[in-house]
Amino acid sequence: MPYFARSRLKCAFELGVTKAVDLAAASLQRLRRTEPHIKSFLYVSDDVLKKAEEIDRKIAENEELGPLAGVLVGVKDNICTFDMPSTAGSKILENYRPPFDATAVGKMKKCGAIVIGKTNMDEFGMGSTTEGSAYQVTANPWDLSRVPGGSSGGSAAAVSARQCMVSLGSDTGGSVRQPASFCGVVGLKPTYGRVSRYGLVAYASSLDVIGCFGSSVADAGILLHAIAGHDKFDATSSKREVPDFASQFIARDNLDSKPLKGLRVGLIRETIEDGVDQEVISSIRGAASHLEELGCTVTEVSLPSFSLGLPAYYILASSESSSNLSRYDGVRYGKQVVADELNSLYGESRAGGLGSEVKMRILMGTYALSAGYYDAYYKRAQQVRTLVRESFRAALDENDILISPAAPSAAYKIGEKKNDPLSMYAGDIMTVNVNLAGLPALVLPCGFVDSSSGALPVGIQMIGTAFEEEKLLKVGHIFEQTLQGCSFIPPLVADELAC
Amino acid sequence: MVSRFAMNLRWMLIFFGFLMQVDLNRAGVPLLEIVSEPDIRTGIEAAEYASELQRLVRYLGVSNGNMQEGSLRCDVNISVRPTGQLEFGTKVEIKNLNSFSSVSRAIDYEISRQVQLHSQGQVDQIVQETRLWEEGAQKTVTMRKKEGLADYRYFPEPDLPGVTLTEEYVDSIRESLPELPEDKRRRYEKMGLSMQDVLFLANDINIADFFDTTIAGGADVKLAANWIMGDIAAYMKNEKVNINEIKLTPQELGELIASIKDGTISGKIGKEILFELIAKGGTVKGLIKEKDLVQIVDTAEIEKMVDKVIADSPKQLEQYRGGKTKLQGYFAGQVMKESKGKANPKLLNKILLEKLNAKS
Repeated sequence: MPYFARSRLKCAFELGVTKAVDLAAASLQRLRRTEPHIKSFLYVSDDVLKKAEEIDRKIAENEELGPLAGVLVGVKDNICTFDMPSTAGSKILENYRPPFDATAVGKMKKCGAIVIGKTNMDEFGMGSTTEGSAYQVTANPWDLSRVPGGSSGGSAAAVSARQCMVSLGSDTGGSVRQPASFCGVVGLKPTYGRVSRYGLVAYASSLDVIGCFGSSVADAGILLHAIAGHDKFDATSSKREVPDFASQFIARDNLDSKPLKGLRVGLIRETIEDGVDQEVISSIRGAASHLEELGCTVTEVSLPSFSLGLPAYYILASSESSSNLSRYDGVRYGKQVVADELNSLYGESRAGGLGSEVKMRILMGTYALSAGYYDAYYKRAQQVRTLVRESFRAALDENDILISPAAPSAAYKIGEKKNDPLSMYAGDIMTVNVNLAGLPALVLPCGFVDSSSGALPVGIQMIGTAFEEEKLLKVGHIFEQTLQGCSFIPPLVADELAC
Repeated sequence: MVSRFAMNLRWMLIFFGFLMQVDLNRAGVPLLEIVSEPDIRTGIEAAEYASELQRLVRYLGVSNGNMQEGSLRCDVNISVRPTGQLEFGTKVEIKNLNSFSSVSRAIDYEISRQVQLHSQGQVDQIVQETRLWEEGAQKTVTMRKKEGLADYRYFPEPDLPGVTLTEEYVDSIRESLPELPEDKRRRYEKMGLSMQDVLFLANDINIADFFDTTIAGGADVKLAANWIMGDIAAYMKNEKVNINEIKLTPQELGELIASIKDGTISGKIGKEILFELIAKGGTVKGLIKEKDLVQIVDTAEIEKMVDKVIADSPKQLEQYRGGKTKLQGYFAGQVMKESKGKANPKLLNKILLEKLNAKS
């Protein structure tokens, strides 16, 4: 049994093929070996084995097993866990232990999942490399000199290096999809409102969504099914029914020759133009051909407002963050400095506790919302957002799904864009529009580009109509099952997993 | 005109020396901010507007509306402009207004302060700021200069999605509304009550309820209003209690009014037992029986008492018959005393006059 086929894990347990504690021990061992190089975790739980033993006891006693029984999950550090620190990668929340589990975490635990630890991230989700963490720099398992992407870089790297089976991330402007692409794993950004944000440290509330990482589409789909649904603690969470995404997956052996016959796929023209790495474009064109072979009709579509999405996104996200992050005043949460009077207590707690990228975005947002600038920036950006939403609607009227690269390039070197924020922001061009429109998108590895140090994975992004994750997962699953000659296990752990 | 409502939740910080604590007692208690357009021109108008809002929240039962406790607060913004000028002058905000009368006085003070600065050619001294009303000095003083609008940075709260209210819902709320102050005043007016009565009764929802229940039982409208505004109001004022704290029920007030009207007891007795009912409770019928207060309307019985008094006062009788007719009052008093206050005054006087003036 392939180690990461989570969909079959429960079966394996029930048949007695494997023990939860053995799987957990293997994961932990791999984690211990790879972690010094990758540094994807900010915190690793010390009772994983105990929890795995509990699963085995349930199996032995024939007790009911949840759909995620024994599944080891990494949780991004901006998602609250009551028994582990939750710092969101920031010094201002150092040692903060929430008194509750995020709804998504609680739901996973109910399904039998074991949280293995908290993964590294750019502070408060603000960054695309995970270099913005206040604690450590995470390396890409494919090439330790490169970034894993961000902001959910820890969650992506952990799944890529098989330190855990699946993980939770959050996606405000691409923070699940871009690192999935960089690390060669599946990343699923659900429709806005599909998953409760209760317990997710707020960055930009109108864009934030909790997403899933897995080493297969099926894993990501099963994880989404476990965490999705309405939550009375999040007024923006949707009351729509959550379908059982995995139930319609068809095993490869049962696929006919044109399993996606009639599916209309739109390749977004603006995402394969200048400024995008040629090899990435080739990979996406290759993926498009593959979809055609599966029976899809692929046509190029234009989203005229595409390039406007990036500046609009940075204005809206910064504006909302300037409000959301005002709660870190040294009083309500985390770190507090000693000060003579209240204003310096606030000021100094924030000055020392927040990193430079965060401060820059708070300043930008504060500026954009100020009277006199509001109309020129915030209001304008909201108008662009409406345009973006409408152009997606038009394109999705004509097509079942839209495809694009997940990022303009493969993973770049650590430090390469650290002092060039604009270039880093530009890397989000492929993903931010989807957040502005609130749509679901699935990223899955589709090929490789060459680099001086070996092959680096490239991800394709599939964008669907709101609340139609089911369709994306179905297409993604077939795509993944039929993609020949590609193994997306990084060399670092490939040998170990082969045996 | 109301320009917008703002709702928020409150919490506050409390400091005990170096110890800081968060007081969450009011967390989850919704606060409604009502912002009106600059339509008000005088202090008294503003105070009247605010007190009507207070009546409204009390009528609706959404708040006790007590200003002292901070359940209702009022900040005012004042600007003045030369006659004929279209745009408003720089506005100044006043805080720390703990009563309607301070609202009224603070506004009038601030208007005259700003007008004076205008007339002295010092318009530039009027700056956008927050001033504090000082009750002792009866004036406003600078509290802080406004940081300017730029610091507010309002934007739509993305965590709170828009709430769509169906027409049915709005209608059901509208239908569930109690009678509002203005409607109540109009209704009282139509009953023939004077403006003074109307304003007094409708001012306090509890008094209005008391009054409404009293007349719903069939009591005479004007008499009920008089009792409430007179003796009952005086009692409440003296004892510093509200109408819900007195023992008298609207039913018994109605009974009392009826008993006087049908002559069972005299108005004087009525007044006496009213205070007993207010302070101790009980029923009108019970008290009349217990204290044997039924008015004496039996002519023969009153004649007997008149005869006794006349017989006991030969000196006064002689003086009366000698022309000192003022002494009738003395006799009436004595007879009333004899009847323990129960004799019907009209009947008493009639019989007394007959007897006094009779040729013996």
